[in-house]
Amino acid sequence: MRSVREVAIVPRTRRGRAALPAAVVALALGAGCGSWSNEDILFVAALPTREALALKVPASAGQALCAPPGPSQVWGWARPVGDGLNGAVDTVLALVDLVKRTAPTTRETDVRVWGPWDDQKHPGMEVRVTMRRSRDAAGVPSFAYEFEERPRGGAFQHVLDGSFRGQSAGAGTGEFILHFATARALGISDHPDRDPYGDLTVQYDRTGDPRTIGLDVPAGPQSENLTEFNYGFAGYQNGNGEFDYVFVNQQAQRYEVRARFDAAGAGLAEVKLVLSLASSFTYHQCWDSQGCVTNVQDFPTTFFPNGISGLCPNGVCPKGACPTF
Amino acid sequence: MRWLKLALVFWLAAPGLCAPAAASAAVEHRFALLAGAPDGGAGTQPLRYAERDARRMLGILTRLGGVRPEDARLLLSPGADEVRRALAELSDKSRAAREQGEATVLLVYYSGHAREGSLRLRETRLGLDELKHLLDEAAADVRIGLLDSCRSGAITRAKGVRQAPAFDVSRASGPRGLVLVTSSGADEDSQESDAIGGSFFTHHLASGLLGDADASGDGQVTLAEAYAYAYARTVASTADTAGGVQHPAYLYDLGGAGDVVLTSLPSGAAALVFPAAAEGSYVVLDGAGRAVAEVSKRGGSARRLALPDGRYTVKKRLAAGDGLLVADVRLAGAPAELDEGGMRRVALERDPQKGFGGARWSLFAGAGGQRFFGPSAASGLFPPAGLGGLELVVRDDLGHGLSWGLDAAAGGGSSSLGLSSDPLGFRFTEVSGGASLWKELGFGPVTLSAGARLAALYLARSFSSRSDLPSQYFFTITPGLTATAAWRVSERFSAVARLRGHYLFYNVDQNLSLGYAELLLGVEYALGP
Repeated sequence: MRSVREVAIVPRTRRGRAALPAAVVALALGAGCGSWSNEDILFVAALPTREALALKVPASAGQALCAPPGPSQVWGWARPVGDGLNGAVDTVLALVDLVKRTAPTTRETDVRVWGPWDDQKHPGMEVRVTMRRSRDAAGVPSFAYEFEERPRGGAFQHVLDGSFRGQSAGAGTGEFILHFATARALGISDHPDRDPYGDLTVQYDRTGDPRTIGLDVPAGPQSENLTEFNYGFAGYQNGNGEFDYVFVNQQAQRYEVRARFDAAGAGLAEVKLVLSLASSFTYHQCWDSQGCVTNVQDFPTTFFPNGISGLCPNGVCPKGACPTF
Repeated sequence: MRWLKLALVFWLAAPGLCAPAAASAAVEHRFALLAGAPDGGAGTQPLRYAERDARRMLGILTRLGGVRPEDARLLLSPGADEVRRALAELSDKSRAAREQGEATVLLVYYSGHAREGSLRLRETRLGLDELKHLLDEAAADVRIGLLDSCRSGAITRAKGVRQAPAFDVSRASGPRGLVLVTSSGADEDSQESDAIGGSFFTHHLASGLLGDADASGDGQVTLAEAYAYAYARTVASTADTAGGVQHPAYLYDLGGAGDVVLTSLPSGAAALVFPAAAEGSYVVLDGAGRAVAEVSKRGGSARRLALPDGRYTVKKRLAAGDGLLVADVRLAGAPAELDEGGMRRVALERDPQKGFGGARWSLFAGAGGQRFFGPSAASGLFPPAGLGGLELVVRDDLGHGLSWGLDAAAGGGSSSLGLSSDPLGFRFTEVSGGASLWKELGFGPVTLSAGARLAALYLARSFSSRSDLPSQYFFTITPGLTATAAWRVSERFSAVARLRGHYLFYNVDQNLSLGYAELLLGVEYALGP
């Protein structure tokens, strides 16, 4: 994934000027000043964190120099995809971190509002962040948050929406949506040529083992290879992981990949190539901790003498070891 | 009876009637035993200035009284046996001196408790009759006992007050015999004063020995002059005290020629000279702000106080409402005359005789903890903290028994937000500073105090388990109360327990009126000389 936008938020200068006399008056009345608030922490802790969203892929992925039939292409895709998702996470965290560095502007029992402030990164724009809390019948809190931008004096539009539900920040489920189209319309997209045109949606679940992350993103007209990309990742506490993703390239070829790997990086995958509603091919492959293919189950044909995978030279597929899960 | 005593005093002190000190052919050798006994054992309150009184008299006698340091014994907080041994030792030395043909004087000074006919030295007793007997039997030509203690006048009852025999100026020999001078009557208490930093009697006796009692102006203070001076001043000073008026008494059983000269005032040495034109009441304070002498004089003749080299402050009382005149004087090996025209005027409330004995500074260091009351503590909003602090304390600066202090403390701890099933751990630090004003009440070695405090409180925390969470702070000014219990364990050190209770208005999430308490246990050290 690529960087979508970066925002720098600063309180307005006039607000800073007003703070000093307000503090003096408050002190004269015996009141305190500061940001010491348990409730603020509970709100902020519900925002996504790097730890919650980061994909942890073993270092061997895509790095090995292998003897024929060569490195696993499927495993090689894992790291770029992971890096891409981590890039999207960075974008979101850049927004979130700005909120975390600043005390709320408005506090109500179940609402916190930051701003509106000037967006220093985009002159003339203002940003506002709103978080709302609700509880279900069992008392489990849910938080919904909105990052909004507007031209000064205009109407706010959502550029990021998200939610989190859970008893604690460390164990819950969350989702956020980056609205690339809105950002593009507001003129705050930093990479309009590369950013997706639709909404990028990320779901994460930290309630059990494995902890999962899902990503859905539509590709834009300028995207050369992808028209659609869906990705799912599950990370276990023992270091094992799973990922599955679907992508459709410009030739309308749909790839469906399901893979599992262990903490050392060895894994196996099932790859399904869907050429049309009536035509699809599936093969399996295994790789070792170096990312080198050890075993392929493929079906060389006249049209694909080396197999769909291209990993069976002269129709002979490697029959080495496969990890078990 | 008292008018009879007074008449006798004036008779003794009158220059025209009292024979001048005879110039004895024999070399005079003086010995002195000085005991300061603040601890009178069970049922008594420790005296604050008994040891200082003894040191003060030792300084005067060795500097002006002809007592060589090696012939002086200073006993601080002694037992009765130590006094007996020291007295026997000095008696033996005196006997040896007499055998060498020297005239000898043995002077015993005691500042401490006395009750029921005995000096009370910690848990031991030395009967007044025994003391008188020991002095009677001491091998010295002149034995002088100066007792500054409650009901010490009982020692004069053995023979009652009687007029001293007329001195026979035709005899070549000097005075011989026993003189006992006590600070109070047989049924009177002797009192200390924080304002003068000593007992009334010793303070006035010392002032007299330094030169203010030199009524004849001959540069010598005789026993009669000193007693007359101390008597008049002590009676005057204690006339309005809560303890009641205090009448020094004496037993005078002295024969031979001439009076006993207690101190000689060398003419060329360091001295504070009050010029002939000076008139009024003056207080002389040393560099530590303690009263070392008082001078009350009329115009017409100069008065000289033989003080050691050093810095002094001279204060002169003016008429009511007019305050004081104050001057700083430095003595360095030569007499210095007080320039009354150069004295500056200060407010009356800083008069040392009205409760201002000079500010006393001390430093408190302690450690303890802080705890908030009620739900705020349970919810983890303000968790308990460990604290270490310092406080600079100034006593008697704003008034007698009134103290103020400036304090600073730092501390912190770790805790977690107890609001979810997955607690968020955090570490916090705390810095506070305050100013306090309190009143002290003394109960022997124990001092209790209570007062008010205004503090600034700053708290900051960061979440160790979630570095992405924002650090937070809180600052406020809080009013509170302070209470202290202190136990004086030595002259300079006290063990202190200090409790503070404060109100805190929290207004970040919601408006909450909270309270917290701080308890510090530590040690206080008295600064200054």
